[in-house]
Amino acid sequence: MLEIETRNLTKQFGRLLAVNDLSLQIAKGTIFGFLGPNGSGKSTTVKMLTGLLTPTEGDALISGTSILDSPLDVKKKIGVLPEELALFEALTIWEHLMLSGPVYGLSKQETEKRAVELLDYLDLASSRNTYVEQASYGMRKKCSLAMALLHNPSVLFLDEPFEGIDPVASRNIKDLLLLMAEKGVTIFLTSHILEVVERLVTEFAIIVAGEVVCTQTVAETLRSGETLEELFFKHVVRGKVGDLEWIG
Amino acid sequence: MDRVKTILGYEWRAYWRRFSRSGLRGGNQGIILILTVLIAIKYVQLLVTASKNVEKGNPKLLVQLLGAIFFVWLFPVASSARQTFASRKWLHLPLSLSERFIIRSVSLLLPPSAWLVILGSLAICYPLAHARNPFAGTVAGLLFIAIAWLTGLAISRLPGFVVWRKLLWIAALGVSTVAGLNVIRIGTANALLSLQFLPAKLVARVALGDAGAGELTQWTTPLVSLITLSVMAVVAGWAAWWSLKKGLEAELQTAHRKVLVVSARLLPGRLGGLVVKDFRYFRRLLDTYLGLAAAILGCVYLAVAYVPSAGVFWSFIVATFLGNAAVAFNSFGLDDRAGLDRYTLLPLSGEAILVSKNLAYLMIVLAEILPMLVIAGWRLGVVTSALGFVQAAALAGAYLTWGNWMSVTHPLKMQFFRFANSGAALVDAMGGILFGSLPGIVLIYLWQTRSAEAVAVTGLVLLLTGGFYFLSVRRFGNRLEQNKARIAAALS
Repeated sequence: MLEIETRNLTKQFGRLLAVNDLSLQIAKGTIFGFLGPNGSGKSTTVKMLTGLLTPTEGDALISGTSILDSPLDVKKKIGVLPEELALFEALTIWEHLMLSGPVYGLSKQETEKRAVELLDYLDLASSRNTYVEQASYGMRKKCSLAMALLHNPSVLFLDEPFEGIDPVASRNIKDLLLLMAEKGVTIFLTSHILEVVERLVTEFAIIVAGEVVCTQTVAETLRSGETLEELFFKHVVRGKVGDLEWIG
Repeated sequence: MDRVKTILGYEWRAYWRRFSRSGLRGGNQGIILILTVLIAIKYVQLLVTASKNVEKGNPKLLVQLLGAIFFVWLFPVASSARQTFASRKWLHLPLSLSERFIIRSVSLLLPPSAWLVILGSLAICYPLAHARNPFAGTVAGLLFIAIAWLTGLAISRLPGFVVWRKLLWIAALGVSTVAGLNVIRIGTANALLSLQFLPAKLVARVALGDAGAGELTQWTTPLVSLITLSVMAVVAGWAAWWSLKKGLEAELQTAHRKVLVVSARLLPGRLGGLVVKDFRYFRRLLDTYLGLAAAILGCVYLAVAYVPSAGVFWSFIVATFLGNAAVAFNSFGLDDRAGLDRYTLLPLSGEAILVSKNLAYLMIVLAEILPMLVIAGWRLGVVTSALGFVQAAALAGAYLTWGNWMSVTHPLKMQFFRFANSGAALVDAMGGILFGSLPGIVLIYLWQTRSAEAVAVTGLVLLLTGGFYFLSVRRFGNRLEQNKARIAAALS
C-alpha cells in the first residue's frame, strides 16, 4: 500500500525550477531517504508535501489524501520536523507541546503524559521550562521533533533530523524511527549524513538541480558492491575548486 | 569609521530593499502626502504664533511645542521593528561599543518618517531665534533635541530588562493615576495646559531669560538652565550608552512565566494554547499599555469623581479600545516566519487561526476594562455598567472586523517592547480607528439622548458589528490560507 505518492510535482520560483516533475512512490512502513546537495530541491519537496509551499504543478497523495484537495486532512495525519523548526520564540519547550496536543485532538491529560515521555526520551526533561529563544539549536530541534511525534502520525517528514543533535539523542532518534517503521509509520527524511542514511533507510532517492537522478533500495546498492557515498558522488559532480592560497 | 560607514551603507540598502519588496510604495501614498502637508502647514502656523509669543515674552506655546517634539522623538526608536548590526545577534563582529552605538543611533534615522522628525525638531530654532537670547536659545534647543533623541535610545532598551520593565510600568501607573486625579481636579483642558515639562521649560528660560524663572535673577537663569540642559544631555547620553552596553551583555530577559501557567490552566479547548501564546505576545507590545493607561484613568475617574458621568465612563471604554488598536489591526505583526510556518503545519483552518488571535485580543481588552466595569457598577449602577459591556462588545466586533482585514492584507513586522510600526498602513489604520470607534460613539450619543429607539438601535448596532465580524472571519480566514507565504515574507 502506497503511503506517499507524488505525481509530477513541480515548483518554480520565478525563473528558477526548484523541483521538476517529481514522481515518487513510497510504501507504508518505509524509511525513505531523500538525498542531494544544498539547493537541490530536497527541502522544497518536503515543504510542498507538508503544505508549507503550494506546488506550481502536480499533486501528491499522503495516505491516499491529496495535499491540494484536503490539506487539513493531510496535516492531521502527518508529523513534520521542518528545516527552520517553526517554533514560537517566547514559549518554553513544554508550552510548545501543550499547545500542539489539543490542536491535534489530544486531551490535556494525554498530551501531558506523552509530552513527559517524549521529553525523557529526547533528554529534554531538564530543559522543559527553557524558552525557545534561549535554547540551543539542538534543544530547539528536539522540541520540534517532539511536536512532530506527539500526535502519533502515520507519516513523518523529517528535514535534516540529525543535524545539530548530540550522539546520545541521535542514537535514541534512530532507534525510535526504526521502531516506528516496524509499527507501520512511513518516514520521509532528508539528510547530508550519508553513513546515517545508509544504516537507517530502506529506500532512497538522489535529487540534483530539482530532478531525481537515482531511486533505489539500500539492498540494491549493497548488492551492486557500491557504498551510498560512491553512488552519491557518481551523480553529484564536485566542481573544481582553487587552493585558497591566502589561508593559513 | 570605514567599517561603520560600510555597515550603515548596507543597512540603508537593506531598508530600501525591504521597503520596495513589501509593496509599501503602492496604496495610500497620496493620502499620506496630503496628511503630512496638512500637519506641516499647521505646524508652521504654530511655529509662527510661537515666535510672535516669544517676541512678546510669552513662552507657553513654545514649551508645549518642545514637549510635543520630545515625545515625537521617542517614536522613531520605540517603534523601530528591525534589528540593526548593533544588536546581540551580531555580537561576533569585531565592532567596538562606540561603533555599535553610532550604528544603532544612525540606522534608526534611515526611514523617511525619522527625517520628518529631524526637520520638525530643527524648525523649533525659528521661534528660538526670535527670543531675547537667540544664540543661547538655539543652543539650548539643539541640546533639547539631543536629550530627546538619547532618552528615546535609552528608554527603548530598558523594557528588555525585567527590573526596568517593572519600574517603567510602576512609573506609568503612577503618572496615569496622577494625571487622572489632575483631570478630575481641574478639567482636561486645564490639565493639559498645566503640563510643565522641565527640559522644555529650561529651553524657554535660556531663550527668554526670566520666563517662568520665579525667584532666579535674570542674568543667572539662562546660564543655570543651559548648564542644567548640558548635564541632562550628558546623563541621557550616558543612559543610552549604558542601556546599549547592558543590552549586549545580558541575555534577553523574558516575561515572567507564572502568568502563562495561570492563563494556560484557564484556557481549555483546541485553540487554548494558541490563545495563551498570543496573549503573551500581545502584552509585550507597548501599545497595549496605552489602552491600560486609558483604563487606569477611567478607573481613577470612576472611583474618585464626586459625581461620575456615564458618558465619560463610556468614553474611557472607547479610549481603551483605541489604545489597543494596533493589536487588532496587525495581529500577525509579532510573529515571524517560523511562527507562520508552525501555523501552516498545524491542522488549523485560516478561520481558526484568526479566531485564536481575536480571542487573545479580547482577553487583553477584557482584562483592561473589567475593573472599570466593576467600579462603574458600584458608582453608576449595574445598568450603566452592563451598557458599558454592550458597548465593548460592539467596539470589539467593529475593531476585529477591520483588524482581520488589515492583519491579513497589510501585515507589518513589530517587535516586543516597542510601539507598533504603522508604516504605510497609516491611512488604513486611521480608517480602522474611525470604523472601530463609530459603534461606541453612536451608542454613547444614543444612550445620552435617551431616545425612544435606543433599545432597537442598540440591538441593530450589535447585530451589525457581530455580523460584520463573522463575515470578516470567514472571508479573511480564507484569504489567510492563500496568503500565508506573503505574510511570512512581510514578517521576515
